[in-house]
Amino acid sequence: MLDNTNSPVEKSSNGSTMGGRALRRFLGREESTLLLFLLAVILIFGTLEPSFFKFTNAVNVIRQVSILAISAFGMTFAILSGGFDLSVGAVSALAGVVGSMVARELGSAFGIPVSYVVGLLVGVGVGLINGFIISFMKISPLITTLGTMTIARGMAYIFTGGVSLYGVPDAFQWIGRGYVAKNILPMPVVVMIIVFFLSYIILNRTTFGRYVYAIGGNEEAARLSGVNVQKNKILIYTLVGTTAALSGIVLASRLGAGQAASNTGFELDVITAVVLGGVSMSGGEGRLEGTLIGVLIIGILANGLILMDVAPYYQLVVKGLALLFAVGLDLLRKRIK
Amino acid sequence: MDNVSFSVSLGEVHALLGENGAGKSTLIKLLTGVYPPDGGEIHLNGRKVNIDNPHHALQMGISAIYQDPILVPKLNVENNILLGREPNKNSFINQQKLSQQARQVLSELGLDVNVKQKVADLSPGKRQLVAIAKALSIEAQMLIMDEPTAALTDQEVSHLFQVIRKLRDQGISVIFVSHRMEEVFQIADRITVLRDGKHIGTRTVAETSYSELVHMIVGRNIEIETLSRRPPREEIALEVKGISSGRVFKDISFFIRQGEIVALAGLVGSGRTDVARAIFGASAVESGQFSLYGEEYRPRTPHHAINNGVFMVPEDRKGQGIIPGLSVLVNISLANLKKYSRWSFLNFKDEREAVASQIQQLRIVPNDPKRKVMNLSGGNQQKVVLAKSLDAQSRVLILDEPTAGVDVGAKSEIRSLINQLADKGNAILLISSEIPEVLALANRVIVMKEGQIVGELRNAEATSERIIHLAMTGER
Repeated sequence: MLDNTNSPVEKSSNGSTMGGRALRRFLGREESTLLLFLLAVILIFGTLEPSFFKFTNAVNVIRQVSILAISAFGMTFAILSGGFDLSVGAVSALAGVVGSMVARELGSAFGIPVSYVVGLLVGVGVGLINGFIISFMKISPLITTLGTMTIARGMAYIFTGGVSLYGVPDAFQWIGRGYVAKNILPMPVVVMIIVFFLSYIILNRTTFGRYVYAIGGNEEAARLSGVNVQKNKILIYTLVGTTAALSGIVLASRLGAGQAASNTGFELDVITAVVLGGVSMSGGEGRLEGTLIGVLIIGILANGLILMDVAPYYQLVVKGLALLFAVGLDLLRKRIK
Repeated sequence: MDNVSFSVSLGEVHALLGENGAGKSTLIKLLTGVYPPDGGEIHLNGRKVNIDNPHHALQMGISAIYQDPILVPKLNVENNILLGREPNKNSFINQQKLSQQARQVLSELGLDVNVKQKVADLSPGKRQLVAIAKALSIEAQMLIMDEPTAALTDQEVSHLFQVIRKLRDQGISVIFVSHRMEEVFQIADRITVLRDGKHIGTRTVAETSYSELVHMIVGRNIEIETLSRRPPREEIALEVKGISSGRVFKDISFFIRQGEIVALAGLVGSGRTDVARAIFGASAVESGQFSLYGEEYRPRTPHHAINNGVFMVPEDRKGQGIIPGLSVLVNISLANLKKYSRWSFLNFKDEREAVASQIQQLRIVPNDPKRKVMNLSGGNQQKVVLAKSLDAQSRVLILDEPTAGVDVGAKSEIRSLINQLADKGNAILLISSEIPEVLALANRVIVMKEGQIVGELRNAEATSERIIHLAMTGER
């Protein structure tokens, strides 16, 4: 793609300098503009607010985005395949509620892993349902997940009666508040790193990951090449549901309680992070590393603005502007190339 | 298209005939302003005119309707007929006047259609008539009809012809494009034949005959040298018995031996592609049987067909063949990833080596497996799709227009590849609109017309004339 002879850059830079070639190689990489953007944001905040560069703050930023990141890695699969999933926020709340209910019932330390697993199964279940409806009933991902989102949120309210579920054993808070290596590496960050590596391997090293790209790139061509589109779509939405549930358990564990109203509007943050990371909404194009960068940009913007005492309402405006700016910049890069 | 001259008189029905790709569509696009001519002139009512865009063509009273009428299916008949020209006052539509005008247009044509009905609920024939009503409501002087009868029943066709005769008697000129010879003889006053973008001749219906027209349509085609290969083996690879699918095709039976190339000939819309898709499991059949190497085979999905050693290279390369945004490597190995993986984990080395050998064998240029397929030429894109089918190691290959939209050099490379595959013992079902290609490659030619097999020709007895004659008239 770099030596596409139709591109104007190629024509003008025939026999050009090393710099020109390096620039072109840089522009050719999908994440290049994003990385630049991320670095720029870091530099600006670092200069304006020296405490930004402290190690504890860096860990803090990553811990704050970990819940978003876990879901965004799953969402990347759905968007790469040409779909998306609006139910992730509601599923995460439902998983947190169900997980803390189980933990409260079982009480003992033994019950904690069980509660995490049951919470995860909620996500697996909703994901399977989403996948089945999208694959077999051919209802669009928008409508399907809008429906299951509403149902899941409603069930979370029904289970809790609208109040926070306190009285959960302290051990439940391990995955949200615990640390690996005394006060250095928070558990949510560990979970995020594990989910990133697993997702990376699944996306880049397995046949399933290849099929995700193929379905997003041209669903009919994939089908005629023998790809079992329906089965793979079910897997995709199950994966999204599972990561959403995992982020919901981490959140409930942090809060020490299942809350039906938690993560409201979360789905839009997740989609924003993925798109900001350069994953094309039309499918087939983008990388998991991009999503990671997108998540970090969102986290750093939020953190930096807080450090600089910017009022929370302005943070929303900045987040929206960042999305438009980053995607616009990426389109510009493609045009120049 | 090259140096075509022809004229249409007032109140004349003028038919355009020619093979697929002879230049009929291009001529229509010039007349309706879709693209401008490189040279030459268009005269309307004795005055020289420039038709710059479709809107301009409409203003001059040139209106076209197509095989699939361009209507808004969710709107009702009256809103479709007067779309964009609704009687209004300050942008508020006068509903009464709208209905009245639509009814008037329909009654002038002698059409009995409820103006309140949604277009989506009409039969294809009625839809075609609504499209004509719409075209005429612009006060068209010239009506261009591109295969208007392709989707119609016999009864609907005869109704359409009544309407066309009525228009002709009112002094409206009609250009009528059709593949169906008998219809042309029924409706046309004069007939013009195009071939390879050239004007071959114009005849009045009275002074010509089927055989003369077939001769004009076929001409002396450039012969493609027949490639030598071993004769087919005895064993039958694929057999279909009496497969039918609604109105698309009916009672199709044939077989292909190992190492044999069987061509499915016929005009566009004759059901060739639909039969191919049914064998590949890409669309369903209602009845009939399939067998592979003597064993019963029921194609359910392409996935299932590929697992049984059947592969199809689809006609629509961009929409169904390639994944444009992904690399050559990913495209080629897609159908055979099971072989390059263990427990679902990809073995990149095996995959790379297999793809490299395909790229080399098919001489795909550039030979860079990481290149996105959309940055390749049409010929190389087609080679990527063929490479995918070879990589899948199928015993039965269905090739739907494998050389369409490909440059001359790539065409001959692809042909010799097809020949080699048959030589190695693959059974091949070839669909091609290029008759010389069919003659050069196929052991037998099965000709389809309107969803049915109308005849089979052995290579020795097949000629361009006989194939075209069979495909157009259904008679030997």
